[in-house]
Amino acid sequence: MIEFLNVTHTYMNNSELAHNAISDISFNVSEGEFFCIIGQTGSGKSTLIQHINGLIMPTCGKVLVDGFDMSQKKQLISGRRLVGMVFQYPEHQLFAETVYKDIEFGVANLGITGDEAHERITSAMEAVGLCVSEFSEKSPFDLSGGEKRRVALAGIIAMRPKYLVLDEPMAGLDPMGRQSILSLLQQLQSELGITIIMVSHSMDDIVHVATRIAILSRGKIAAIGTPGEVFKNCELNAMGLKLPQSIQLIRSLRERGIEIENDMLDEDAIADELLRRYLHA
Amino acid sequence: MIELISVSYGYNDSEDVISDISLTINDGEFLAIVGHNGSGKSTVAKHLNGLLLPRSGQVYVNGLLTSDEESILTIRQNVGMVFQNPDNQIVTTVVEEDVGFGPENLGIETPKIWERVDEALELVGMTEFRKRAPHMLSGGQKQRLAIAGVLAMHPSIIVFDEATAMLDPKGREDVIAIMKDLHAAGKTIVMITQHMEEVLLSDRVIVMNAGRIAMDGTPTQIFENADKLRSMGLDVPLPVAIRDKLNASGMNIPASVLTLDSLADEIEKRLSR
Amino acid sequence: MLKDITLGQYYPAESCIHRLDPRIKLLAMTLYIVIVFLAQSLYMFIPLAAFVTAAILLSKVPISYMLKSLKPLKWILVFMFLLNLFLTKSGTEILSFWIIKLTTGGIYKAFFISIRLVFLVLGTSLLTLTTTPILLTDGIERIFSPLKVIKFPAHELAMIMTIALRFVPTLLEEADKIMKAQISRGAQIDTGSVFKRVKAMIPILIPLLVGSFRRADELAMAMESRCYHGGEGRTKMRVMKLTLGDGICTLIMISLLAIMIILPQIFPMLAIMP
Repeated sequence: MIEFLNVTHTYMNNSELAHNAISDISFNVSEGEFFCIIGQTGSGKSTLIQHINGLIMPTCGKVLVDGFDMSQKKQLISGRRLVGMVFQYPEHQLFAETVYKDIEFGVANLGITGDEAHERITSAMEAVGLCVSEFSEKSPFDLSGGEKRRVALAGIIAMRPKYLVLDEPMAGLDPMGRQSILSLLQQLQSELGITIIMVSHSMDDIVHVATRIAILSRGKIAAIGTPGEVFKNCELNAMGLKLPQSIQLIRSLRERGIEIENDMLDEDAIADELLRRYLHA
Repeated sequence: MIELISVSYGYNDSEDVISDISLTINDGEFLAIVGHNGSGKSTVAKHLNGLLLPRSGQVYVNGLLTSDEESILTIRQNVGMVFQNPDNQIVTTVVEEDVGFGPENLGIETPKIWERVDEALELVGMTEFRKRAPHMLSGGQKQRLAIAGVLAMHPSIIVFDEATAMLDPKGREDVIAIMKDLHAAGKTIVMITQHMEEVLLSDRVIVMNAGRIAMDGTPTQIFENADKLRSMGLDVPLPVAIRDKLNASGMNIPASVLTLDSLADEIEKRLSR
Repeated sequence: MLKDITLGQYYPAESCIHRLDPRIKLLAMTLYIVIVFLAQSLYMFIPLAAFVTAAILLSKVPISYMLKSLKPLKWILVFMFLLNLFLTKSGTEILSFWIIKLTTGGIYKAFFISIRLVFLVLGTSLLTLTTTPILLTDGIERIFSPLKVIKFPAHELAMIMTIALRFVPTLLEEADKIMKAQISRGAQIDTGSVFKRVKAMIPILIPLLVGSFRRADELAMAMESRCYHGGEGRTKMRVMKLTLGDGICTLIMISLLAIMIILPQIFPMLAIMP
């Protein structure tokens, strides 16, 4: 479990420019969740997630990863091994001369070599849908944008993290690329039991995958819960965010007197419900 | 007006990235070019102001040939281009200076440059940031600055090459609002995008696939063929997806329904008979 | 962490120093460097200190902000101080321990060199703090433009400087991000032997380099799209005109130079290092 206990982070502490990026944040993420964090640019999302593997330390409060206090140096090392971190545009971190060696980097840093390393690397490549024999010896710099991103993801997955934290993993991809990353993450969650924590702007993608979401606004959690709960009650427009289109449709139908359950998120479910009413009418 | 006459292009000796593209972009048009990554849409965009020159075929901008070195500056003044990464198109370290970069290159006299800078910053709503350093701006603001830099050259055609791809929803909304304003003010807009919702802004859509034009029509016509779009790695906006599902069971919603509001209207009509 | 550097950053304010013509400021700075090196003893720093203090006050740049520009130099300062402290062997010996000998001359020299460095940094950062990089490069371009006849690339040089200044913060941000990404992959950057540390930099430097090439490529396209074609036929947003203030500044600098030359002539003891 990941626990945030009253976490505040202040940038430029002790200066006139001091400001809280996040203030007094408390929440938990349980094992097996697909937890999404939504917020405008500047809402503190990046600061928040970097606390999870101790890249940023809380100014006040505590972050615990499976009980390891991430602000204690010794516990940090143990905690960090549990957390895989995928930054925005992760393909920008590729450096090795072959795809295989790049994925090996993280594995080797864990002190894993030989057969186990090989097994981890190849299974990570398969997990992200990169054919081992075709891609292993290629230079990561010769690949397409979508492929590069999958190599970067494989580099983290091969480290077998218990928690996978991703910052906008679909940014800049085409519809098919977005879909394939999204289903990959869902697969990691459901088949390998990896807990996913994802920051994303694309509401329409989130509604389909998230078990819970948190809305971050001005460094504070404005709402947290299942997508149904959050979108039903939360005034997202006021925070510069947009509702998922499915919810927008439901709301505008309700305004027109068509009373549809307002926690339905799936477009198929909405279509079915409308058809049922249409055929009854 | 831009005319592409059977344009083909490939990098070095490799095979064609785009082949045999013929396309006329009329004055005042709002054209969207869509396609999956690697479909060649950005390559087409870079032909529109002579950043790339065709391997075979010709590109004419207002009657001037892009491969003619004499005309290239006139062409580029006429066809402004906004790129994907806002960071990598800002040249100088102060907002207003960057807007002036284009006019300086055109050799505009100093007082006129300032007029253009003021006007362009106003158009994109960045006047209050004019003395700022670009790296302190948000992604959306940077992109508005990049647009101002293009507008200060007084182009008649503006190409947005995936200009919203790296922005957050707010930044994207701002940029889209500017595109609409510019189109309303009579500029020709060419928008390269992967966001199918944005396509709805246009009055004509080109769908690129494997380096060729696969579809050409109004958004209504394009979205009538959702399966074909999906087979080319694209998607349809959610209202269209729901519309198609409802129509499959005989709800008969017209093809011109593309937005949430019009879809809700049509559903209301049919449910309250 | 990497963003905290002040060196080379512009501090916006309305002051007479800000308003000076960049060409005059550049020449003044050149003169200032000469003047700093003319000071051959600690006493000679007194008029210099008076001048720098006055200039800082006039510039309306907060003292704390000025001092921050010294921060990145603290290790160089400490190194220079210690080097001079222990390697200078003149004057009376105060302390002797093993091979280390502390002398009065050493203490004096250590202070002298450190203070000189501080003066150099303060003066030059005053230039960059009060002049926008674009004016600065404009100034450089104009100072060197007469040399165009001998094919000196004044415009190109200025453009390179502008772009460098523009991209320093962007690249620092990127370096920070890449570093964090690699730390997350278990990279150990700050432990181990020198060889290990150098090796640990590779996963950071290569992506940074690749990223810079990509940026350069995209920037070149954006510049071409905005009709950039070198300095020929290019006009300028800024017209530079010399004002009364520029005249006064020049006079002050020349007076200071004169003082620094004449003072030790009149009072020879001022120029002597104990």
